[in-house]
Amino acid sequence: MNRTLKILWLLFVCGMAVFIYNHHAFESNILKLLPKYQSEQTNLVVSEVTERINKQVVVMAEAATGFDLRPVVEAKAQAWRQGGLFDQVMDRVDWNQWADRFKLLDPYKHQLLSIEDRASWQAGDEEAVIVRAKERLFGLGGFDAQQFLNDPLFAFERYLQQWQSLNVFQLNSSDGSLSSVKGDKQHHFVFLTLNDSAFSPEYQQQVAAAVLDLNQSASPEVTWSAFGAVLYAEHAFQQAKGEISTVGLGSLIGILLLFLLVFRSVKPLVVSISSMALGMVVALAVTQWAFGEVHLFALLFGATMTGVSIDYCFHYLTKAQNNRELSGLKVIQGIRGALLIGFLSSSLVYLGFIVTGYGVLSQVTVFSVVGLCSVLIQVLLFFPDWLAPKTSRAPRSGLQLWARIWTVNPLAGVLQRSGVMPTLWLFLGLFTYWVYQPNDDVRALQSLSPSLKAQEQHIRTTLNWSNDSAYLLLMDEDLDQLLMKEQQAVTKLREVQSDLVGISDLIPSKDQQKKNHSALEDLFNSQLTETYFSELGAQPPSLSGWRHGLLDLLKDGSLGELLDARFMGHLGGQWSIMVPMSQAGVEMSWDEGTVIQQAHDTSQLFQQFRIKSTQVLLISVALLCLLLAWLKYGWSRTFRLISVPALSGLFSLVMTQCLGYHVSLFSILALLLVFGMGIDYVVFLKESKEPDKTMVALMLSATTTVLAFGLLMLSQVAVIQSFGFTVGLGILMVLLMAPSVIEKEE
Amino acid sequence: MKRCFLMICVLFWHVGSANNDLALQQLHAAHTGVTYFEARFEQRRHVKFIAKPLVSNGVILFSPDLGLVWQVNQPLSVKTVINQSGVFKSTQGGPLNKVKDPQIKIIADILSELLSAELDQVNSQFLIEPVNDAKQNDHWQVKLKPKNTLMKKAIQSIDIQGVLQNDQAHSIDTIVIKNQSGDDTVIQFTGVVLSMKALSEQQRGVFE
Repeated sequence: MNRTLKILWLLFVCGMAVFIYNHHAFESNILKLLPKYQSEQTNLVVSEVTERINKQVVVMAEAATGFDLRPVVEAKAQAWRQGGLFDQVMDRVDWNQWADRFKLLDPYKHQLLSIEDRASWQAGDEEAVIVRAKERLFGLGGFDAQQFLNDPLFAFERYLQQWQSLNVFQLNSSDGSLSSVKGDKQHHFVFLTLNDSAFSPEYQQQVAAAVLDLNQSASPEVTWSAFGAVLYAEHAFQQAKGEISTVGLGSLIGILLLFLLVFRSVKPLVVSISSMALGMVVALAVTQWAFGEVHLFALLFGATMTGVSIDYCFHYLTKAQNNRELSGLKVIQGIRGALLIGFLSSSLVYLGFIVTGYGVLSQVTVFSVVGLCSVLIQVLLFFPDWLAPKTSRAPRSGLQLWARIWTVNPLAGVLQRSGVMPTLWLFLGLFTYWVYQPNDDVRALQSLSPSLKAQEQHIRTTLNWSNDSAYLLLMDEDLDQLLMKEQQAVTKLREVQSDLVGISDLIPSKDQQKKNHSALEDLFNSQLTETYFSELGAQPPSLSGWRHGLLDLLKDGSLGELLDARFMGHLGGQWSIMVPMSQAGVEMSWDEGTVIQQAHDTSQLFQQFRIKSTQVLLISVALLCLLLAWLKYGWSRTFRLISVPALSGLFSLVMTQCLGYHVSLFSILALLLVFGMGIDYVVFLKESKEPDKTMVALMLSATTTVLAFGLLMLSQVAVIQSFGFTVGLGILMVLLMAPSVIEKEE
Repeated sequence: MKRCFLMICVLFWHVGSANNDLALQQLHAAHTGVTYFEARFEQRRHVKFIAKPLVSNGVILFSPDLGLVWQVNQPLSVKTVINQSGVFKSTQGGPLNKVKDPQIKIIADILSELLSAELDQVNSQFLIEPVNDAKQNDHWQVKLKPKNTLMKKAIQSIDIQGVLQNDQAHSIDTIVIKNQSGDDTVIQFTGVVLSMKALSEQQRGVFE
């Protein structure tokens, strides 16, 4: 029977390995990690906008005003064009292209009015339009005869001027280049569009090499700055690589030394690591099968389950080491109950996180539970044969002495006294309530390079380009309806953003086009216009008829990238427009459309998930309490058992907060881990007939955990740092408090 | 037709400046230290398809620190203030409102640079052709020809004429802008006042 099970299990693991080899799909894009909006359509548009933004890199060359900067920038832009890394390299304005696009609008000129002309017409102040025409004739600025003939009231010119509101930057493009002068410095800009994902590691490196090495390669008079998501992502990737190497290598060396020191043999190490590795393969395959892809972040957090699963290995190994006269099967029978209770308790807590609805947490849960289960199965099936007790070396007496001393540590003694645990609950509960101030800011998920941040700030200051990013997202299946919606929204927004120009001001809905045409018809036929032309001694032109087809210019993309920043096109069966909003706009009430503030919204979603996760954790702990009390230990013992990991986690959380670490959703994940491992510790101790010897296994397990998580504190990323601290301190506290459960029994 | 739209594209420019031709250098030397420039102007525009010349007159005020004011008094009242914050316009005595009018900015930039002493700090958009036989009747003259193709499509030349004082260029009195379609705009300055004193509160108020 046992043999059949082993063969079946090995076949299953092989099958999983083949599956993951053929179907692995790892997602490394940090943006995929962010919680999603409830509407799929919103997610689609937001990801399209993000994708467009992420593909942009802004490069700025700075030099003294006397320096001939343009050839240097042109040479560099040419090199980038030839390098093939970028889809588009824009270092100059193609005015011919602009003129061609305006020419497309000319047939519709009598259906297009500027915002101010429209307002004058709506207010019945047609004379204002004539005054504006006269201002143009008699004021500063020039025009030529052809222009007058084509647009005698300059209404179309005023309409076309609105298009410049799409330019975020006020650049000097008189010589075709994109430049500005500030004080005694001149700046030239190049806008690059990536031709691959900003999150492809290989591509990131190539772009970073091409863009960031400028200050070494170009002339010394020129200072280069650049910013873009790809540069931040490249920095984060290199940083993560470095941190993973440090943490991985540090943990590995520590675990190796620990195994060799305690078990004085390589075999337990090889079998334990193989078991955990196979457990990870199964966990990976099941997660991949369940979700279609595995995010690297979920993999990283899921991999922490090795910290839990190694407990099972240590528990068997120390038991075997102390009972070398027994068979492997006897050893496993002695600890099977504790292992199963430990596993079920941890899994129950983990599984609660699926109900939060946060995809990454669900992945972590599935990965962890399946991984733990796999390692447990392997320990139960294979350890008795592969690590027979008789092959173990005698336990080190020094270590056992330490464990004995540890089991009677003063804190555990105090906790055994009646009333101490409830008092501690009360005190820690109140203190947590008093100090708990979580920070859900999504930006703590990454540590931005100070040098890149400084460059971004310098470019933003030079371009007078603010970092505000609030939008009203409007969608409709019908483009004409969408333009009408946008017009209403823009009209409302102009109460607080007077200079806002909407897409519907540039390409109006059919209804508005008809109104515009009718307004111009009235004006052309008015006495005012007749007087205007007679005063000038010019012939009034005739008004062209109403034409269909203006919306097609939007649909077929004839207007090119002019509207790209706002008009998202046709996505998922809907047309979408993003209207930029000020903070005052955000605070208005919006029945139509969705207000998008990605960093703010994501932080809010993180907050929701943190609150939900905390509730789920509390419910899971309560459920576990009920089950353990009902099925096994009774109320009093269960309270003591649960209190050890729960109070350790709470203490660790309070210390994390008091020492200024970042407390967020990931702190709740850390508590989950502390509780998952902690419940194993106390159950193992509770179930053990030789608590001193079990304590050796727990000390070993805790050492590896504290080592691995302690090293995470070296990370530059605030949440990872905090996660490492909370788990490390929490496990230390569990280890310190755990003996309180055995003393009571004895 | 495309030329017409290219001209509108010119609206989107912020034009640089003229070059350091001798006469212009002298003009700028004469304007060094000037804190305030004031003159009356008459603008006369001849446009094909418009039978009557478009004549306007008013006052121009310039301060290197505060910007430029172009106040048309006839045939309608329009005050335009151009400074580092942008272009502001008031019609028929109404309040000043910020407007996006790059065309005005272009002309204002050219005028500001001609009237200021900071010519060496800006890039040249024009070829400078001195008109040597113009030094008659105490006048100097230069011709600015646009360098880049796009601007050439809009402007043929800008002739600048000024007063000579002790054989040195002293001040501008006429600007003639000719465009490719044969239309021209003639701006004549009279009653020029150049001051090197700090501006009074009243003078400063005009720029606000």
